[in-house]
Amino acid sequence: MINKLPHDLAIAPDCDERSRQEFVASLRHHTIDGMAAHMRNRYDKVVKPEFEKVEGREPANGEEVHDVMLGDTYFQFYSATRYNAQQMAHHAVIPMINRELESTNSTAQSLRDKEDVGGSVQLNKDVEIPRSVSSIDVHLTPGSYHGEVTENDSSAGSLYENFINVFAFNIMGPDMNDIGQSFSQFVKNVHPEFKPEKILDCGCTIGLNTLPWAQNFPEAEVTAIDVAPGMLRYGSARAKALGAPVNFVQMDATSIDLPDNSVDLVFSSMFLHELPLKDIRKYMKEAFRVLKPGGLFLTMELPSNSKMGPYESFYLDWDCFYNKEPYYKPFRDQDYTQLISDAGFNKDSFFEVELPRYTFTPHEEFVARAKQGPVFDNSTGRFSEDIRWYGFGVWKDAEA
Amino acid sequence: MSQLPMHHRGKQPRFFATEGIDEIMTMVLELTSEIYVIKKRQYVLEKVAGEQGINLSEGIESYELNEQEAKELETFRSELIARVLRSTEGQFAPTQRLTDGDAGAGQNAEAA
Repeated sequence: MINKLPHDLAIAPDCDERSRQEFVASLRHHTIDGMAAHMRNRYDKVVKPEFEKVEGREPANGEEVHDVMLGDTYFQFYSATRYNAQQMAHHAVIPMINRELESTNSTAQSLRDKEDVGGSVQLNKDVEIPRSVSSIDVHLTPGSYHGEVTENDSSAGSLYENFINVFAFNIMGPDMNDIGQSFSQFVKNVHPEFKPEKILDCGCTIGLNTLPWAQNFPEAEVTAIDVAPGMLRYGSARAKALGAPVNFVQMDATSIDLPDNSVDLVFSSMFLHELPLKDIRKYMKEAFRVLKPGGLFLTMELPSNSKMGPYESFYLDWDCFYNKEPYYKPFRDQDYTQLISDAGFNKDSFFEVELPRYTFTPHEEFVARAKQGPVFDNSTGRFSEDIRWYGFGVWKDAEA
Repeated sequence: MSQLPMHHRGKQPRFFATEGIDEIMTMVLELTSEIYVIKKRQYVLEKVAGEQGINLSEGIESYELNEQEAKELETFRSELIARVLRSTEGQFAPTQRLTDGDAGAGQNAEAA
C-alpha cells in the first residue's frame, strides 16, 4: 500500500518510519472505508429515525445532518480517528524528509538542470502568496503548501508527495496521478476531435496530475502554475526525473500572465475548493480570457451540494470543518453553472462527468463509463476504492 | 539548517464533549501505531533469523520458561497493570464507597 516513489527524489525510510507510514495508510483505509460505512449505517438506522421522531421530517440538508451528528458518539470517534490519521500521516513522513533535506534539495537542483528532457521552472518573487494559503496550514500541512525552510528549498513538494503516498493508500495509483490520467483520457477518448496545442494546469502543486496531460498529449505544450515556490521546484525536478516535459511557472491563477485567447485547455484538480469564492470567480474569468474560442475549461472537483443528498453533502463537507479547508463548503454550496456563466462562459455548453479510475479500469470500460453522465450516488467524489472522480467543464463559444 | 515543523498551526478540533477525551484518542492511536512498529520489527527479526538458519518462531513457540523467568514476567505484568490502571486507584480507594449516602461512606477515606 505504500509505494516507493518512482524517481530519484525518493527517500528511503528506516524500518520504524516505514512501519508508521504503513500503519497510517491502513488507519486511513479503515476510517474512510469501514468506519464511514458504519457511520452511514448508524445514521440510517438510529440518528435519522430519532430526528424524524422529533422533527416530523428528514434532515433537509447537509447542515442539519451535521448538527445532529455532532452529538453522536460514533461520529465523534470517526472524526477523531480521521483527524488523527491526517496528523499522523504528516508525522510519519516529516522525520525522513528532514533527515534528507539537504540531499533532496541538491538532487532536485541536478534534475532541474537536466537538458535531455524538455520542460522548465520559472519562479517569480513578485508573486504574493494568497492569504488563503499563508494564513492557515491547509489540509493540516505543517508549514502549509508554500513553506520554505532553507535556500532553494523543495521540502514542501517532498512533504506533499510523501504525504499523499500515505494518505491516498494507493487509491490514486502508484504514480498518484489517476485524476490527471482519468481526465486526460476522458478528453482524448470522448473528444478525439479536440487536439489541444496549449494546456494549462492551474494550482498544480507538484504536478502529479499535470504529467498525464504531457504524456497523453505529447504534441501539446503543457504549462503548470502555482503560487508555491517549493512545490514548483520539486515538481519540475520530478517531471524531469519522469521524462515529462512540463513548464512550471510561479503564477497566481487569479491573475494569469498569458495573452487573451492563447490556451486550448485550462485544467485544474482539487483546486477550486481551496479558494475563497471571490478568487474562484477571478480564476474563472481569467480562464475564460486566456482560452481560445472553442477551448475547454475542465476541472476535477467535488460535486455541488445541490446534487447530493443531505447525508452525502454532510459527509463530503467534513474537510471544511475539521481539515483546515474553510473554503470547501462555500464552494460546494454554489451552483456551478452560475459560476461559469458569471465568468463569461455559455451555460448551455456546461457539462458534468463522473469518471472511474483509469489506472484500475479496463480501457474500454473506462471509455464507456466516461461517455455516460454523472449519477451522483454514494461513490461520487467519495474517497474510496469505489470512487468516481467528479468534474465539470464548459467549452468556450467558438465565436467569442 | 532549518527543518520542516512537525505540527500544524492553529487549534485542533474538539469532537468529544468531555474534556480530555480528544487527547486520549490521540494517545490510543499513537500507541496502536507503536505496537505495529514493534510487531513489525519482531516479525522481520524472525524472518532474518530464519535466513541465518535460526528458526526463532519455532523456538519461541516451544520455549518453556523456568521458574525464575516466569516470576520475572509475572512481576513485569503486575507492574505494567498497576502503572496503566493507577489513575483508577487514586480516586476510588478500596475503603471509599463510590456513591454518597452509603453507610460508612467517608469513614476511612482519609486513611486510604
